[in-house]
Amino acid sequence: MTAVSKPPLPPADINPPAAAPTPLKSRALRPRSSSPAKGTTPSFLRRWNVVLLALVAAFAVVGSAASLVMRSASETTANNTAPALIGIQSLFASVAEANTASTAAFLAQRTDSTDRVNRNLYYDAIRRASEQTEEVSAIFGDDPAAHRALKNTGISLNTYSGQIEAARVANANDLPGADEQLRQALSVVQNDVGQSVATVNARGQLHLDEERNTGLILTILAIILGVITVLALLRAQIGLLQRTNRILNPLLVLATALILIVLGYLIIGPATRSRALDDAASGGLTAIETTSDIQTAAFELQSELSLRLLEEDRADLTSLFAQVDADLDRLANGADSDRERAAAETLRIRWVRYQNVARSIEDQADRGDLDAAIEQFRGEGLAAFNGLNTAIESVLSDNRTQFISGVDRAASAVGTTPFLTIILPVLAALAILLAIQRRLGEYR
Amino acid sequence: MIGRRINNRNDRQLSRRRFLALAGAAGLAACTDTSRPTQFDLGGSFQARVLNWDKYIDVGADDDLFYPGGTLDSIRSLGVTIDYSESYEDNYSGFDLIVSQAVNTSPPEYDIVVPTNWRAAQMIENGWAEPLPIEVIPNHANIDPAFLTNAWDRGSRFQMPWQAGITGIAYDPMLTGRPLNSVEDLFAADLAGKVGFIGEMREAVGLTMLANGADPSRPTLATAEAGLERVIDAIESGQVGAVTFEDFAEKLRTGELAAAMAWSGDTALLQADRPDIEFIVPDEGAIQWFDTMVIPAGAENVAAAGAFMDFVYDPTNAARITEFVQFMSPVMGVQEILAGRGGASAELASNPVLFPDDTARARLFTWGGLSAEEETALDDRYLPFVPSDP
Repeated sequence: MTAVSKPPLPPADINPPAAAPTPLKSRALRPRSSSPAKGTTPSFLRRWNVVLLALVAAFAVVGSAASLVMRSASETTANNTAPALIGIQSLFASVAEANTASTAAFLAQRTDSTDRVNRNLYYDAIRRASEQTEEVSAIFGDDPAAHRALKNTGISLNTYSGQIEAARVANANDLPGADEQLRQALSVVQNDVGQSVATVNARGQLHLDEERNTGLILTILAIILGVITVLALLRAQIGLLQRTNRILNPLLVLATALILIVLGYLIIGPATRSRALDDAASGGLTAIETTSDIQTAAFELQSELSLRLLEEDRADLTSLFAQVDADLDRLANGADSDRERAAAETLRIRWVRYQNVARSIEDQADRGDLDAAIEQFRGEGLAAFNGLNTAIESVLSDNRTQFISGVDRAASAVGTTPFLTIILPVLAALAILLAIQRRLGEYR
Repeated sequence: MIGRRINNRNDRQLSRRRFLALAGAAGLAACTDTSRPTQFDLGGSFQARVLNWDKYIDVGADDDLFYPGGTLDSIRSLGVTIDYSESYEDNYSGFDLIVSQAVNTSPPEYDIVVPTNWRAAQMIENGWAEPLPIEVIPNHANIDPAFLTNAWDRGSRFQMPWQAGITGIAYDPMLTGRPLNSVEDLFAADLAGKVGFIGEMREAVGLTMLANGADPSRPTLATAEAGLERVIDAIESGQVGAVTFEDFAEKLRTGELAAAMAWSGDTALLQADRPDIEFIVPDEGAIQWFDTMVIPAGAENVAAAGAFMDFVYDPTNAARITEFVQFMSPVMGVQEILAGRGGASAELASNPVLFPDDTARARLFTWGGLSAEEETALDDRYLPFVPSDP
């Protein structure tokens, strides 16, 4: 019998013959290939881990620094610069009102011993001006030039009120020199106070411009870093695609999305802030300045009118009338809401009434009928002026609200960005770390 | 409770507003019906709910608020539905509703309320008033400038005065035996027991402050307390025969009082019967008050409320109201319109109590206001002397 032996089994470690290659249906099924990427997959992963984390960290640092600086500048604008700019306008208005009231009261003394309304207006206005000087000083930032000017304003106000009091007493007691003292007081307002206020106003505007631009370069840098980070994340994703048979790495996608969100905030926040500040400036601050110009001109008119009744050869009021007309046109043209248009129209009506009375007083004074002129000045004239002045105040108040609201909107537009520029990149970094560690784990 | 005009009214008496309402009704009887709708609606999309004092607007026969040609009838042309209530009783109980709704942030029941100036000031200070929708009130430009300089609402951004009046002195020359010129006359020994003081604390104290040389338009707690002490002393010593509201007129008519702190409007009514009764703005000055339209915070129909305000600030419409209620109008142009109409209207236009000249105006003081706590404390001290049902 012949023994038949079984053919030997192939060794266990011998690979079966390779199966016939099947056509590739998609990139996902493509076998790993080391040809597009250099080095092994783990080294690729480690390299990209470092690159991505470094980029995210840099983005987080620059982005949060930019947004913190911008938020801080916006808060300074909202809490300090804007109120200071409004305060300084109000301060000058108060001084101008004090000026008008004091000259009117002075004039009234010629025919009557007291002028309760105007004296009260004067005392109120001068007290308000002193308070406003202190308030503006308290909220104005570290600016020696502005603080010097404010200190000078305080000193000038004291000088002014002293001279007004001296003029009042001299006038009441029929002493010589009363008119001259009044003129000196007016000169203090026009020169010293006016100059100091202009300085503070200019400094405030400068601060506003600086704060507006603060953080812009850092923000642009952060945006560039953010874009690079996103591109790097995409490149890492593509690299992984080429080395694995998976479509997308969800954690890297998450990291990319987080960085994109931060980028969005860094772009939209400052843009919104910029738009809000533009609105505040054009709709609020410009209107405030125009209205303040009207108020200042109106006060000057009233003072000139009262002085005209005290002495001859005073300045011609025509240019002041024309100036207010032009300012009113500017205000009406700049009005961008029904409310603003209505306020501008009311102001114009009050202005026309005042103008008519003022011209009538002027005519009477020119004709030499001083008693009638003074009578009209103290009655109808004062009423028309009060109507105009309070209408101006109403417009100013609305403009201030609009300005402050714009500035607040600007501050809130970047209010949460610092938090997001820190927390979202941290989450993105964790996602990257986790994504890569998990891939690396598959090779261990 | 104390109130300016309404809650202490004796039903047998006719208040100025009621008298005029009835007088007007008689004249209009031929053209009005007797129904009194509380609301009209032409299908307009706007509705304003107005809460005002009683008889403070022109009415027709049987108190018809919506009589043809009247203010509330004419406003139909704007397509605004008006729900008009006359149940604002006084600045205390009437005010409670407004306050409670404001504090509880529930929607206000009314779109316009008409408290007296000092209450309006409190509303504004507490944030219980809406800014006026000036975009629908072009006639805001017609507010008399005298009402624009109140420190609590410069420029009248939150309120528009409805009507104003003067608290001065009315007296019967036969009983006083001499002309009165000064607030000090009310404290004179020869008039002991024959003097009436007004029940509104701010007016009684304000007038007395003027006698003390203080300025009630700029009160301090010290000057107000000094005034109040003097008022209380006068009451407790018997110098004051009665603390009154509008019943001062009846007491003057009957001779129970020889002189009284008096409201200008009610005195004018009394003078129709008793032309010998004098009304003066004392040498020291007099108190001016005004009731004013305010839109409560959270009101649902702000634009319609604005439309109503605008309508009543048209000088023609305001003149019609003035002809009827005969208080001081805060609307510029009313005097000229009344003068142009001739007859009784022209007489009103030349009435110095309704239209004081600049000199008289300079002697009118509007209560300047203290803090709410201080005013409440003063009220609490004066209230025990104020009769709740004269």
